[in-house]
Amino acid sequence: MEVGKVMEHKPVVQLKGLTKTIKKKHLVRDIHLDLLPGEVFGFLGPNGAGKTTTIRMMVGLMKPSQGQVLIDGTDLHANFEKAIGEVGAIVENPELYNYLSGYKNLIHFSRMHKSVTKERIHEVIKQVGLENRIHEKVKTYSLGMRQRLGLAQALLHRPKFLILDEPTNGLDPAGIREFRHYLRKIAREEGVSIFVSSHLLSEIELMCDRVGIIQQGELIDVRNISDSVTDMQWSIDVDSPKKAKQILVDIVSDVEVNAEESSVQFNAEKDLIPEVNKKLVESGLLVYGIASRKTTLEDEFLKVTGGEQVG
Amino acid sequence: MVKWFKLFQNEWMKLIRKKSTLVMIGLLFFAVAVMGGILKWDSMKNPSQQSWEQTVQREVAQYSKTKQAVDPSSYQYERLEEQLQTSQYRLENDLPPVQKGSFWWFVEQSQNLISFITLFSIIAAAGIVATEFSTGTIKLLAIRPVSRWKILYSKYITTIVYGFFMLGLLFLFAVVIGAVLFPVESAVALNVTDNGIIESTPLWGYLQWYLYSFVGIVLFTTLAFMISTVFRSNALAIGITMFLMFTGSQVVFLLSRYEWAKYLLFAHTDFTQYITANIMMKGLSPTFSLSILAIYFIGFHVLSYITFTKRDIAV
Repeated sequence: MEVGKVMEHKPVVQLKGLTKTIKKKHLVRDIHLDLLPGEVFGFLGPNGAGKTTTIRMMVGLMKPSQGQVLIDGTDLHANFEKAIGEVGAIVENPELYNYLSGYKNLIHFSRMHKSVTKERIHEVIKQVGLENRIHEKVKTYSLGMRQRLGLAQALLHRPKFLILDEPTNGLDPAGIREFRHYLRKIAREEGVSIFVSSHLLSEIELMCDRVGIIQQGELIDVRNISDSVTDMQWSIDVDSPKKAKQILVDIVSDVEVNAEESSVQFNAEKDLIPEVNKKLVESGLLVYGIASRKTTLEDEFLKVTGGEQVG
Repeated sequence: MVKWFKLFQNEWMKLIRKKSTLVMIGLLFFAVAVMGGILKWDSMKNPSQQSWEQTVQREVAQYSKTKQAVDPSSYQYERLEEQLQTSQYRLENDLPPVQKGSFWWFVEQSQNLISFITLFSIIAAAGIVATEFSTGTIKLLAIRPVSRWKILYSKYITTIVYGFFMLGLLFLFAVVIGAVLFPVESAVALNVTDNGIIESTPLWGYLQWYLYSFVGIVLFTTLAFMISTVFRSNALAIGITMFLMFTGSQVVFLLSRYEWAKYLLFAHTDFTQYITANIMMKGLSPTFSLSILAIYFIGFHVLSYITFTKRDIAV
């Protein structure tokens, strides 16, 4: 399933017919995917769908049975050292050396890259917000702090491609928010291509530009997040919802009155909202507020996967 | 080279900062100190009854007896011949051997603790690959711009250096504790060369013993490393290697009348047999042993290399 999008940039990562077969069983089957610079791609699928197997092949921990992984045009399995130098990753949990300090862990990984300076290490520590605890042993860290340290080791060498497996696991809501902004920032400003797998659909929705859904080893759908939210649900607080309904029935669909909250709800495209507002005001209604609610990806995801449980 | 050094630095840091490594070093010092205490107490309680001349004469009688049963063209015969010559030389020139209860004697006794070093090296080798798998850290290690075989060999080199380091530490502890507890008397060691018998300090002989012991340490360490890499299990690697370490030489001894037994690994792991001339079975020589050891050594490495570089990492 090739992504039918006009390329503005050369893709950073190309998966070409990626397949993993173990004992005649297809864990992952014929995945084609291009990932662009500056793009945050969400990878979604139920348990056992082949998410981790795909990621393992993308970082060279597993060899594909068929197909290729190209990173910045270089075949990962033919020229591992060159290709993997552009990749930073957390695969599953950020498993670090517990008995070493966070700093020693970073020193350890930095020695395996060509040009990671001490300054760069400190810069990354600051970016992930671990300055105060970096010299303590990792075994004293909370899951959220390990996650941050995991992110730090993935960023040290300024990779062009970042793979994060369940990255917000263990972060508190403020941490998740901060993390989301940070990912967006490095994608935009440094042109890093980010590949995020998560079971939190709302996370993917907030974080990603595109999402791919994998089921039983096959990539069954790839779509832009913005595509799925053109038709939004709206709620308008007015002094007389019944009167508002009469006015709106003609221009938007599924209008409902919520008498308790004194509001009307309806579905409409964003472009229609100024018009709706104008109509209401012109009719002498008092408009107190207009709020949108996106149709969540979860609904779509459940639709696509046939309501199978999401892990 | 810089890259290799950095990889070694990493592995060394991870090994040396483990609590178990500190415990091992502490244990080693403790063992040397306890041995020093016991030997000091014993040598004060039971000083040697015989004069050194009597001891040497008894040794001469023993060597001559053994020599008669040995093939005159063998390595062992040659070594026995040398020992007889040096013993005669001692008696003729009134050069006493190292005396019980002296500093050099204690340094010599410390050789009995070398099996500790083998044990420590086995433990380090068994853990260095398997632990990365059991903790999952292998995933972050294997996704660096460093080929897997380089990671594997930086680990192997680290365990060998570790074994050498611990052996050096044992020697150091023996010298320090020996100097504290025992009188430092000068002593003379004798070596047979082409130009006749040469007198020297006993130090070289003891260093040679340590070096020869290192051959066995390397082989057992390589074996443990191979098992650790193939099965990715720390416990299995320690278990199997220790079992073989304790039973291997017994098995070779039982089978020593068969010609093919000389191709068994454990007929050669105790390389100090070429110093004592107390050789396990007929037909062995240092060159032959080194060749057999090299074959096993390469075999272990091929197995480690293939499993580590080819197999998927799915932990």
